[in-house]
Amino acid sequence: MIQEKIYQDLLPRKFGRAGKIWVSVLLAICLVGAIAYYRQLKYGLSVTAMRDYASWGIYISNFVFFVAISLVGSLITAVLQLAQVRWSTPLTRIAEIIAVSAIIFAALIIIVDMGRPDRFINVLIYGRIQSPILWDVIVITTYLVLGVLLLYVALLPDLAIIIKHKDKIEGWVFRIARILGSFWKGTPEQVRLQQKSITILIVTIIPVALAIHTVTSWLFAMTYRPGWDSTNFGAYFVSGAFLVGAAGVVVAMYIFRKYYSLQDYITEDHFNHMGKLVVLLSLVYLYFNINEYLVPAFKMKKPEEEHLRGLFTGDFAPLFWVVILMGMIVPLIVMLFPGGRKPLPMFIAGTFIVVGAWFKRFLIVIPTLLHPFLPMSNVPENYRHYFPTWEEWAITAGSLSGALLIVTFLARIFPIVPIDETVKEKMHEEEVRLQHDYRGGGAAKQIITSTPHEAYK
Amino acid sequence: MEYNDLSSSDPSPSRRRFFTGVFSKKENPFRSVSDETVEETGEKVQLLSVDGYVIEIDRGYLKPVPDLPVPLSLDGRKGIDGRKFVMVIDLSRCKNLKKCQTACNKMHFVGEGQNWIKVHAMKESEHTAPYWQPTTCMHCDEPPCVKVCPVDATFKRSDGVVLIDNERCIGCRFCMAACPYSTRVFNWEKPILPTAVENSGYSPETSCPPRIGTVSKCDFCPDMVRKGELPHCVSACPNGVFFFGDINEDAVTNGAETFRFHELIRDRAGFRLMEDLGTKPRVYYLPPVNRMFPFEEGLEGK
Amino acid sequence: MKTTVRHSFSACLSFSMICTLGILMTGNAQDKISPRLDVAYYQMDSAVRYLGIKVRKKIGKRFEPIAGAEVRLFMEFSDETIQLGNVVSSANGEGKLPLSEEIFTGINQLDEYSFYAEISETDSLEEATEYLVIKPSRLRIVAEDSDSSISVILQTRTNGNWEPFEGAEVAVFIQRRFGKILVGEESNVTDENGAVELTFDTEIPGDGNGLLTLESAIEDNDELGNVYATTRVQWGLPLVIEDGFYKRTLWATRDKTPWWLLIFPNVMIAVVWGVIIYLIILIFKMNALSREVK
Repeated sequence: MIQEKIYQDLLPRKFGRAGKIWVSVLLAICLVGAIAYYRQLKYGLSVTAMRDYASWGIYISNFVFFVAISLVGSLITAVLQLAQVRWSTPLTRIAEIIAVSAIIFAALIIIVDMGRPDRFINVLIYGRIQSPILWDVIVITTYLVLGVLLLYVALLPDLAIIIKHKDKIEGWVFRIARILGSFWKGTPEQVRLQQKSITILIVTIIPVALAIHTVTSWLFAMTYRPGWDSTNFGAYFVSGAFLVGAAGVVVAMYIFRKYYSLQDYITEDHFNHMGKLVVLLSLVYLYFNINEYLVPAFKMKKPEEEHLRGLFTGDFAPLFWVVILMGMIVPLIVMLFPGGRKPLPMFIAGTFIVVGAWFKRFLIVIPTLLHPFLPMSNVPENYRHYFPTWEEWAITAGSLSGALLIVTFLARIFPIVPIDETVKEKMHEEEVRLQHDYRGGGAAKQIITSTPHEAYK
Repeated sequence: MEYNDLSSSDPSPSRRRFFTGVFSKKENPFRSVSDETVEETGEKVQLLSVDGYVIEIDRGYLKPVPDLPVPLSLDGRKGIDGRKFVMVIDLSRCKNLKKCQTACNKMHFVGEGQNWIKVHAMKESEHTAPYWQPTTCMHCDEPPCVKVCPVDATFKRSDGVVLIDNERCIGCRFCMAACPYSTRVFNWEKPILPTAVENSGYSPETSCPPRIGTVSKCDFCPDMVRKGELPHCVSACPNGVFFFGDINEDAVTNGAETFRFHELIRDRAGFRLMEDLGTKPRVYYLPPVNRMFPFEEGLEGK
Repeated sequence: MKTTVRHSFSACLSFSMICTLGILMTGNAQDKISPRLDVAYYQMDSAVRYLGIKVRKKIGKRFEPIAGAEVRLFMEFSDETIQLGNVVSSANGEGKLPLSEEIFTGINQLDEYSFYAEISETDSLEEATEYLVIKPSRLRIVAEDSDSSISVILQTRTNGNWEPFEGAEVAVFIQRRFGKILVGEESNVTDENGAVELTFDTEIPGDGNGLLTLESAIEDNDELGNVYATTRVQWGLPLVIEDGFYKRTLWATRDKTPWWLLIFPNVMIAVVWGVIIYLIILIFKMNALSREVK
């Protein structure tokens, strides 16, 4: 009985009006991005505001953002599962989907940034393992494959459930499920192999996830430039990635919960737990930020000085302080209080963290490039500044929309909360409750409190 | 190898060679071919010059030179044998004339504002003296740009020169981020070129024709150097700021004056830029002492 | 008397002394440029001779090169004038015309060579002429290995005989690819025997065998023009090229990747992708199990 209710609640559903508007808006943004990219292919990177000093712009900072947010898949699924944290179960699918879509767009946006995307094949033909770019290519590919495998293997029982409920879903979703998972019968041997695969995956994905963002940080830290020349960079990036990833999950949790009415599955308790986790991750990230800015600021070496003054009091100061305060410290304080760990404040704070994190990547990439060792001499005025052109904004927004579209699409065809595991856990809880009642313990708690989907039956 | 094919019976080392006049240098055209003694053979040849004159000269004046134009792609990756090129920039002579820049831009079709040679107005601190500092590519012996290139598009040659293969460059711009001297420029848009240059084959030695979406930079003019001529910036500077030479020969020249490299560096306390970074540049600087011009003269830019 | 072997060379002939970069001057008749024409005589190792021309215009205090000017060069004798050839000035206003040895074979008794250069009037240039009179000379450089001494001997033709020439300024250099390094004093004046004696007392790299090329040079001499003589000596330090260029380094090409960078990343890649392949095998195993159920 509980089982059927869970199936009802969690099986993929058609888009409502809001869903359709949401998808249309995302598609429209993608289209504008595609037009901008067409212009970029036609006229070269001259359509961007990048020039010889700011030779990397928001494409690269957006790339770092995508890589960062993709780490969440390993955090929520792998780290928490290895630590035997039970409450994270309903969140694993959301995390894995975000991870896969973000890493796909990380790979795409780096191609957008290339001056000669037509020569991408050169990376395979002439690749030099000495270059951190090659490390990045290898590790991103590996992480994408592992992410897809983790998503897929964990999905198998749910695919079987979809196939079983052929009458309740549309044909094309059914067909996808059949192609992907018709072999799943749930035999003990299959379950054993699946559990084994998941264990191997979560153990493997953690070092690869650390590698992917460490290597991304090395694209910067392997150079001499002030602001990048830091041995701290790998850990700094990884901690920032975990924070933005967790915040991304919080935002997604809130939206899915509201849109799909998943209050029974993603409970306030989950927000409470996630809030505490985000507080922890914020503190870790804050620690690395202090490390990253205070240490050079204390010494104020000459090249660092210009860069740091630019951030603290110069051109970038407004953005810098807004990002530090609104993207890290204020959400941290909000979530310190139980009232702040309720869904809505969490959603708002999470959004602040995610948006702040995007601009934080901007502040990591661009100011450093605009503070070279030698003065910027004999160059036109527009080489000395960087403000993205509409094409750059459009392509970036298009990539973000694209990632959201993938998330939306995967949430459309797959159960956003793992059904099989939820059923098992609920059954387990029920069992415990019944045993508890039988022994004459405290008052029986009603596990399933509300039934808002009567109409859906 | 037992095989004896037809080509091995050909006495000439390369069939692609052809004869051309040897004169190319002002004072002494034979300086660059020091291991050959030119003698008249008494045998006359008639040549058709490119502008239509029939000239009769002695065979002795003819010298086989490698096929023109300069080596393309893969050949351009090999350095000139036995050479280690080096540059010395004398800061005491520079007054921001930028003739070097103009000549360089013209010869390499450098885009507006994308100078390969920059002249910085330097002043280290409040009470130190200002001076003009031209910078080229440093052609580092530990080149950070080459380290990070994912596709071997930028490479270092045995003669010390760091070049770019524009036909392989993927435009990731990692080298630009890696270079602490900000020496690299990117072809953000399609370079405006004369048709003849546009259609010529790319050579890393000339860095021409530049291609959209790839990186360019100072190349030490290896095409000129191969011909025995000095890089354009060296010959263009009226004040003799730039000295170029071969460290294996321990000599550098600005065209008018020639010095023993080690003596020049020793006597004038030569140094390299950002030595602490460990990039080991091949460009040395002589400090701006006993200046030929006051700093202010450079502000007028004349 | 002359044997001329004619070689027909078709197109594709690059002849660097006649430069193709000639840019035709344009302009009106009233603002024609008055060119300044210089001619100089060069002689290498007593055998190879050529005339160098320089065409310039005066702009303010400076001279700027004129490119594409056609200069006709002649040699004048008491009874006739021979046209030696034409040279078109290159982008830097310079040009060179080699002098065939046969010109000199019939006149080896002359004490003076008279050259004459002219630019004819064109649409853009005014007429210009220049004379050059040169005394035939012989320059020899002799190196003595035992005491590293260098002797330079200069002779000129006087009344048809070779006689020592006194009072010419001679410098001795070590040839380098770019520039040349002075040996001894900048200026040494030939004595009554037409000789200059020098000692080579410097340590300088030669080629792989320590070979150097010494050059004695008389430059811009009013009577003799530019006269050079070279000799090879084994007085240099043998060049040993020892550098890390062919080592395995981070900046080397990919065939010279450092070993550690080949081994560790590839081991890591192999391990992780081994795991991935194993996982895919597990999926296939799960797939296979479904058939057993039936």
